[in-house]
Amino acid sequence: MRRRITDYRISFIDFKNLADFLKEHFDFDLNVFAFTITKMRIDKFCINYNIKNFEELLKYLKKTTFFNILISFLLVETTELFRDPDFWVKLKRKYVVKYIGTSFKVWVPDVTSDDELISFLILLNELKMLETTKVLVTSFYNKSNPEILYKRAISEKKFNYSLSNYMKYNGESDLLEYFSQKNKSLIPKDFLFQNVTFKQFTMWKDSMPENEFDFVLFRNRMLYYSPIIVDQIYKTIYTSLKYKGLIAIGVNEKIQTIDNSIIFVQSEKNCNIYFKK
Amino acid sequence: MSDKKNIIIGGSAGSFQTVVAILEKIKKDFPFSIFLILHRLKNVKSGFIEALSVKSKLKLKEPVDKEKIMPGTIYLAPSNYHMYIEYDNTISLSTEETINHSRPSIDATFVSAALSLQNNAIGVLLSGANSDGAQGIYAMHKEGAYTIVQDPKDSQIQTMTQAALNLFQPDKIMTSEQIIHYISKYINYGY
Repeated sequence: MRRRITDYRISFIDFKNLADFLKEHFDFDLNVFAFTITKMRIDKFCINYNIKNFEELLKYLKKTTFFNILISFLLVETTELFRDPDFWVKLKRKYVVKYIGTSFKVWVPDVTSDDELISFLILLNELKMLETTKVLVTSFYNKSNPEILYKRAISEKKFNYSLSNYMKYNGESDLLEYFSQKNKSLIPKDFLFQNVTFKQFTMWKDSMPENEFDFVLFRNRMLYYSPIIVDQIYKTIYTSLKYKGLIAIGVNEKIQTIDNSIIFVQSEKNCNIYFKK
Repeated sequence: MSDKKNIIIGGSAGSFQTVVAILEKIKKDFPFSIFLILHRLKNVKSGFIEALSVKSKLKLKEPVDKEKIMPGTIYLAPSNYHMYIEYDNTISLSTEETINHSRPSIDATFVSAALSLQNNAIGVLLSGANSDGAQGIYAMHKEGAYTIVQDPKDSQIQTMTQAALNLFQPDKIMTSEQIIHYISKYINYGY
């Protein structure tokens, strides 16, 4: 039967009870996520797994493996390679290019099977910076082996192979050169990951070493967090960046914090790249 | 209807002129908010807002994520993002997968309005070439919102409006002219 967006499976009270359950059994705080999107995603998750109601969901969640599946479902993919081509052009030509010949250190938080990461690695390759750039990829849900789980995720993903984005970005080669085909899926080639390290990291709980990174790629990630957690997450990123280090956010995002110690300055008008002051 | 209901208007092919006509007729400083979800090309960031606001002196904007909803403001769902109305009177955006091949999806905003605004909303579904919006306006109807669907016979492309009418009976089925009159009267005079 065709799934419908209006198929609600859990009520608001159920959501609150689910949050309490996850906190008590897995020390996982559901309340850090944007409410409406998260509720709708959990409804969709229940539909995907044919879970009829909240009681049934709780029964499944008593198995840890099922908890991991639910949590991975809360991480939303960015859905397109080179989404917002103008951003990628600017990032490459005006910002990343300045780090050629340096030991460039980059953090990409909250990654699933991620188009943003792959786009960024392709950009580095075009600038011949893959070997000199250290990229840390973190995700909050995969505690056991982040790299294996990531590679499994991308092998199951149907990449939105957007040639028009890549052309608008003025990509320098055939986009297909970066992928191999396996069971009708496109898998990013291993050479892209030569300097990528995977690590479990919870944005609202863990801390990074200070002054570690030159650049944090955080586009369209804050969308899925609740406003109550925004300051804390930006503080974590702010602390991890070197002086004048850069952060990129989505084209319809804005850095707005209450904490006066977090000072990000927009690098130029109408640009969603900020630097640490 | 009680006043101060937020208005959520969704449309696709054939709806643009109706939306422009509504915007032309309404006065500034109305005491609630209007949300527009219009299917548009992705990666086209400029031109659309300008085209909508050219004949209107209203505050019309594409919201940023977590923006507080303000009265007297018209929010246009940004290209390539879904737009949700949150309980805490903010707007959230999402890059989730397309719904009915659409991002922004009318269904996504309508369903979030059903959940967060319930009967404090008016949902309007206009002409369009796919069924996006039909399920969502039905969800709004089920949660007590006032719902208006453009008469398929009057729709330039009737797929969207007919899909809604196949699901439920809205409070009103109107022509484009009637919708323009009704909504502008409601916004300007509260009835």
